[in-house]
Amino acid sequence: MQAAAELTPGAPGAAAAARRAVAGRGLLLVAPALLFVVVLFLVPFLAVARISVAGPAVPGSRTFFDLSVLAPGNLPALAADPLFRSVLGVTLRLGLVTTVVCMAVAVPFAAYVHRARGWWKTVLVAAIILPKLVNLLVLLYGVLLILGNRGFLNQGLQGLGLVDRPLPLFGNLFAVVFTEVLVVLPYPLLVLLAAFSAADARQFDAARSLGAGPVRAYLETVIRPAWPAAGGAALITAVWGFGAFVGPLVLGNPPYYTVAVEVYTRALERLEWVDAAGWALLGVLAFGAVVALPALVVRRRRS
Amino acid sequence: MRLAGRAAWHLLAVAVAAFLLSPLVLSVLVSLYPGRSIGLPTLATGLTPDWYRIVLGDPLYRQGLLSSLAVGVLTAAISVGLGLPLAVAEFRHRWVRPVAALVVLPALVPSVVLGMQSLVAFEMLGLRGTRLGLALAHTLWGLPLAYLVLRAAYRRLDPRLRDAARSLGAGPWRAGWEVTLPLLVPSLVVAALLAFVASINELVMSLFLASGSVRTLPTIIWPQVRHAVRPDVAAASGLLLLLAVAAAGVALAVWRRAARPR
Amino acid sequence: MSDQAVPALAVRSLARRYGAVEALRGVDLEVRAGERFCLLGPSGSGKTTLLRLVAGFEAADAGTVEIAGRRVDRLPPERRGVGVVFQDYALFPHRTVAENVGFGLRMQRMARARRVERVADMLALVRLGDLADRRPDQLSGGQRQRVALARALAPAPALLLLDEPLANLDRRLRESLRAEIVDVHRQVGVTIVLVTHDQEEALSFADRVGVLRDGRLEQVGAPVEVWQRPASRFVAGFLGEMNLLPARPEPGGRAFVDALGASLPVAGESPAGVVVACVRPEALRLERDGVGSGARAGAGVPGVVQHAAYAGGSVTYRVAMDTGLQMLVRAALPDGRPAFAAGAQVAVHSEEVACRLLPS
Repeated sequence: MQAAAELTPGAPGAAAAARRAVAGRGLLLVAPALLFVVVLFLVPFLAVARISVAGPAVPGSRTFFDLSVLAPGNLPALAADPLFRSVLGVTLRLGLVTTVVCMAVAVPFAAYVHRARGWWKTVLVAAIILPKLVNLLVLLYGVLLILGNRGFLNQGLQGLGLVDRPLPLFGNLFAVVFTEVLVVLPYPLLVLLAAFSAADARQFDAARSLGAGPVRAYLETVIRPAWPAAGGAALITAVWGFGAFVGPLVLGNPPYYTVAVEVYTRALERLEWVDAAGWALLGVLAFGAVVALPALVVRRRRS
Repeated sequence: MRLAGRAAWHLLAVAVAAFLLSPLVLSVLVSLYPGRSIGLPTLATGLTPDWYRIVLGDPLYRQGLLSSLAVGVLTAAISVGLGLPLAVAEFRHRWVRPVAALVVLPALVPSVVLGMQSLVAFEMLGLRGTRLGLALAHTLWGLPLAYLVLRAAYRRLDPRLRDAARSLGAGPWRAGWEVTLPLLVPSLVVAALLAFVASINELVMSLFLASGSVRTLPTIIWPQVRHAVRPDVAAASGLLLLLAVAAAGVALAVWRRAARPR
Repeated sequence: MSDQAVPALAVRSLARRYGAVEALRGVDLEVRAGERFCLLGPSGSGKTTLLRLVAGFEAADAGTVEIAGRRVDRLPPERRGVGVVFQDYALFPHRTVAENVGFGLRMQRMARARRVERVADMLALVRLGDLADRRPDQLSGGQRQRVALARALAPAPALLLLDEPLANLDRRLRESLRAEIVDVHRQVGVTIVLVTHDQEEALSFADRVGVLRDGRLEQVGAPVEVWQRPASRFVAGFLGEMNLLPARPEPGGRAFVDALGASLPVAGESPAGVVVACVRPEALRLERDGVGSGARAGAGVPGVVQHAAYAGGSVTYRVAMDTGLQMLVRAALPDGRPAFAAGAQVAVHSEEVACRLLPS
């Protein structure tokens, strides 16, 4: 009895010590990744933000910006710039159109693949995954071969005598969206396929036994539970649509240049780093706001 | 009516699959076309590996292929090396979740921005124009991929296996080495290959970070795609595809082997 | 078994809470060296938490754990010398049966030759010697359970914890494995703490039983004692079926049970205040209403059979009494056919069965 009385007070301390030891191990496990993301992501991002409000390059110096100057007016000026506004508008519109087209294709196609069986399913899944293994440039190359003025589509149409001159399939919104959908579509497909596969087949059977037709039962037990995943899929699609670079640059011509293209040309071709940093920063912030708003609404409604 | 609906349904699926696969199939076929310009091989023309021979014989392409491989392997190693401990810690401690979210964040940032900021950072760190620098930048994408794969795999593991190992006398690190790690091998391979594929296909960051001596294959192909369309580009792209498919094949084989009842 | 005075396991004031849920609220328990002890309780009663705290998989919020007189609650699981058999076996899927069993020995750095010998001994003990090179997914459920047992026993632990080890097996296999564990226990002599929600398993397996409810130990005792003299309404109800009937204590060690219209002798003490009498269904008898009542002591209380649950050698009737109470009555079936069907008018008779009184 007395022994118990002596031992008990020590126990909470022991528990705390044991938990501290475990937490210490956790810190050890997290430290490398945390260090990586701080040094190679957060700090560089802040550096870009700082460059966006730096002064223009001093002639004769080795850098493309002057950090001794603090010019916070750069950002409002850029935000008011009609070129920036129009490019941002094009970028957001491209992201939106890509997302809508992708989701409109992805939901029924993912449902189809989910219902498919055997070798046919294998082929379909391969069709989703293979383009993701392919370099963007290979895809782009293929698109050029299809849509170009001497591309297969135009050659085919001319060969059949349907058109006299090559159709302008190239250098317009259609070409850009075509490419972006091609690049992005596998992501929502994979996310949705995973979500559909997570559905409990017994629920489908239960819905059938309760009198729902096959289509109705499928909608209720497979598609609807996957709705949050569809939101995630749309987000991924939008992110990629927004970041679009290669497609718009090669297939889009200047009217369809995105923020990414403008950042690239300013930074690497014109060497206007202050301007490029401003474009990058404001573009990311604008896109973050556009994406965060619906995400917040969805979260609020769920809680 | 019903039959027509079903046929339309199948037709739609075939169309989407064809859409997804067509650029890929076309560019592979073109790379095998035995002519000097672009064309589709037919039964009459046959296929030829000439363009691949030309590409592999070209020192510029060869050096790019080598750089791509080295950077890809480095990226895979760093991504898995950072992602595995993070996945383990995330499962055990709630406070790790914000850190994990931070690690995934770069995957949502356009690669142009990542390339630009990495260039600034590497200038400061003295990593500009090195293979390690390229690999670290590619890890901004590779790490989220590897982490997400490993997190899912670690969560699927039965935590009682670790308990069992501990109760049999293994310390925490020993239990990880003896039980957790062997069971995660298939997922580690998949995570590494995803990071590898992401790296060898990455273009935009590499454009910012490449320098004269260190250029990956996509940055060499890029100007040619932009300005001219020649079959040697198709062949170089085909090499990248071959690498990626080989990597995926390895992943699939490892996966099958792990899933097979023994 | 060296010193009967030192308990194999001593737990004092052990407490653990998960957020707002108090899984254990101060448990004191001693398990004697060499005994088979059973922790019995419904799901959520804290029995698995107690086991995890003893094994060291989690840290307690308060209280102490001693194993064979050594305080272990600050030690990690690998230094407690406790063997654990998990409900879902938790065999290492990437290792063979022999490697599984030898795992603990390898952790002890036992020399290879001795290890091989010990593994063979352990596999022989559970009669699996010929399956040494199989992998766990090539074994049946019962074989996996035996491998788990051999693996836990191989490092010669001071204490063996079994967490619902038979729950995933069918009834016949469960019974034969239970007998096998008892045999192994006789040969090895290790102290066993078994956790289960199955009262039949607890009563048939254990030397002593501890009944847990809401994180507290309600009663500890030999199976016969816990069965015959439950310390609370909960224990009485959890260990098999029991009629709990309002009763009034009478002088002379008797109590009048209104529902039975009879005064019954009381076994044990009478608690103060309002009480209920515990009467097992098998202590009661059914007769056709109005038949044979004159000759016997009690006139019987009328009711209607609601349901007759046939269980082979016996039948349990649920009877709705005219007073609104429900009563369970069990009858042995020597001739193999229940005497009453649902809807039969019956009278419930109680002979001079001793009842126990519990606080209401």
